[in-house]
Order: sequence, then C-alpha cells, then structure tokens
Amino acid sequence: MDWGLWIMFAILVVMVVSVVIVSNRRESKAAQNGIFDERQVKIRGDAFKWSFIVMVVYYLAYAILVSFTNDGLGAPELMIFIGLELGLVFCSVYCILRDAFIAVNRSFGFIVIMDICCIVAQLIGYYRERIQGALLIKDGKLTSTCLPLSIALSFGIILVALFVRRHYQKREEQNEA
Amino acid sequence: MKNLKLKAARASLDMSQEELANRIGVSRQTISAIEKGDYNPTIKLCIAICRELGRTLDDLFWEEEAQHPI
Repeated sequence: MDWGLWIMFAILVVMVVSVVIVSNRRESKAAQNGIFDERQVKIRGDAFKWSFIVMVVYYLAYAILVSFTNDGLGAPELMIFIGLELGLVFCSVYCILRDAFIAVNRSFGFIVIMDICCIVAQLIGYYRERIQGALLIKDGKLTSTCLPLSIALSFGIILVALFVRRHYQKREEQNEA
Repeated sequence: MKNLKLKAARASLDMSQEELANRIGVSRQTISAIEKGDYNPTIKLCIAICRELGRTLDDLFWEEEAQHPI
C-alpha cells in the first residue's frame, strides 16, 4: 500500500473516532437533558449497532470482490467513503422509520433545511468539478468525482425517508384525534 | 399487548397523546408505542405517566392474570 492510501486510511480512522466521540458526548448530554427520550435512545443504540454491521459487511464484500477480480469498481477513496455513507444512511433511515431521528420537541423543518443545504452544497461541488472537466468514469472505474454525487444521493434518501415518515405520522395523529 | 388502561385514563382527562408527551418530556410516538404495546417503558417513565394522569402504577400497568375456569 503506498503512502497515499495510508493517509486515506489515517483520515478514515480519525473521522470514525471523531464521530464516535462526538456522538457519545451528544448522546450522554442529550440523555441528561431529556432531548431524546428513553425509547429513542434505545432505538438509536440499535441503529448504531446495525449500521456498524452494514459497514463491516460492505467492506468485507468489497475486499472479497477486489481480491477475486484484482480490480475495484472505483477509486479507493470513493469506495471507502461509500461504505461510510452506507452506514450513515442505514442508521438515519432506521431511526427515521422508528421515530428516533428527531429529538423531543425539535423542529422537523430545521432538519429538512439542513438536509437540503447538504444536498445543494454537494451538487454545486459536483457541478464545479464537472465544468473543470472531471470525468465520472475513467478507465472503466468510477472516479472521485462521483463522491459529491453519492453524498447528495445519501442525503436525498434521508430526505425522502423523513417525508414518508412525516406523512404516516400525520395520518396517525389524525386517527388518534 | 395493548395498554387500554392508559389510553382510557388519558382520554378520561380529555388529554391528547401530544399533550401527555409534552408534559412528561417524551415524544408523542413514545406514548403511542406504549398504548399500542410496542414499547415497554422503564419504571421511571411509568411513574411519570402515573403522576401526570393521577393514577397508580397498579391502575395503569398491572395486568391481571386471566382467570381460567377449573
């Protein structure tokens, strides 16, 4: 493995450790303040567990594919990042569908706006790369130009899940009334 | 198993799920899940619900065993 890949690996480790530390701090603080109620905390714990398993399965499957074919589907940094995105999307959708994504008394609109901002920023990034002549596929492999597009897609899936769940919640509230 | 006692107690006070949830600091979906029997609350949450509805734990959360005829 050359030094470039080692740097990528180090960045990945730093990102994962940071996410774990920050989310743990947030979780404990949230629990003290009652931001997420006990049912939500339990579901979020399950979501973290399952998303970790999803990521491990993805990385293993991809490693096996690369070993057998001696060729990946895309640039290494892209394929590593897709694994992280997969975990993020799985965790988010799991929480959304079980009403544990948005904390008690927190605004649905704020989350949606943040999500849309992320999508727009990524699409702008993708557009900038494209007008500079970056290719999506080079030598039959996906390039890192796909990265902003894949992030936008991930946040798009989260956005759709939020609206679908919101629709069912409204129906539930009407039935309850 | 559905918790109809909780639903009845809440309805008798003319309180919505949302209202009860706001008073005890949980989400509406959590109250809905407890009433549907999809979630078993901790004793802490049970006590908070009982206090808010003015009932005892027995009133809302004790399940009588089914009487089987001999």
